[in-house]
Amino acid sequence: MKADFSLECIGLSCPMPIIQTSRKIKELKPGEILAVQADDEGIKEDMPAWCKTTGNEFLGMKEENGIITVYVRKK
Amino acid sequence: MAGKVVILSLSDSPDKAFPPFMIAAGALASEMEVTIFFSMNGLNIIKKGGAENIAIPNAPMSLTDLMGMAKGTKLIACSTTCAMMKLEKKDLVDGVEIAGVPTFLSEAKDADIVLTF
Repeated sequence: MKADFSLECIGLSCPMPIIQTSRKIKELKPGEILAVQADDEGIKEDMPAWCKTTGNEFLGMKEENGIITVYVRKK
Repeated sequence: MAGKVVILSLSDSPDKAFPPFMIAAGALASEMEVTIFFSMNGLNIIKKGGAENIAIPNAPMSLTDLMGMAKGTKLIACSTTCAMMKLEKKDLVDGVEIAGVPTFLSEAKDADIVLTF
């Protein structure tokens, strides 16, 4: 998936990845896609939950070598 | 706003002092409004210099860092406990309001989520 912006949260524990995501997404225009890389296992559940709360769209995720990349479209 | 969380903080033990701010930081990042009402020993967390003495070994960040992450949270100190502990507004971290039970109830009545620690 092609993202417009990316954010690296490797090594950060909850709730930092979501805090960083909420800050970063302010830089995006509606419809743009943010890719977030993290190694906190919780992100797999947390990013869809955050999207549900905030109204942003969760597009999917992939996992390679313990690094989880999640994709979010700004509302 | 995506909703409102109200947290009642009653204890300064590390396992009770960290979670309110972790949840507050996450809730603010989720575009929710957050109020923490401190009473009893919870007040020690927001006494000036208090949070510096509350630590968890190997925690990813200190309590004061976490409180910084939760900036934007409305902090309320219980007026009766403040009087019991002889604490005034100047003894508490900046931005704390002093109020009582009716304020807590009014905040909690508006909330989607109410938690106690």
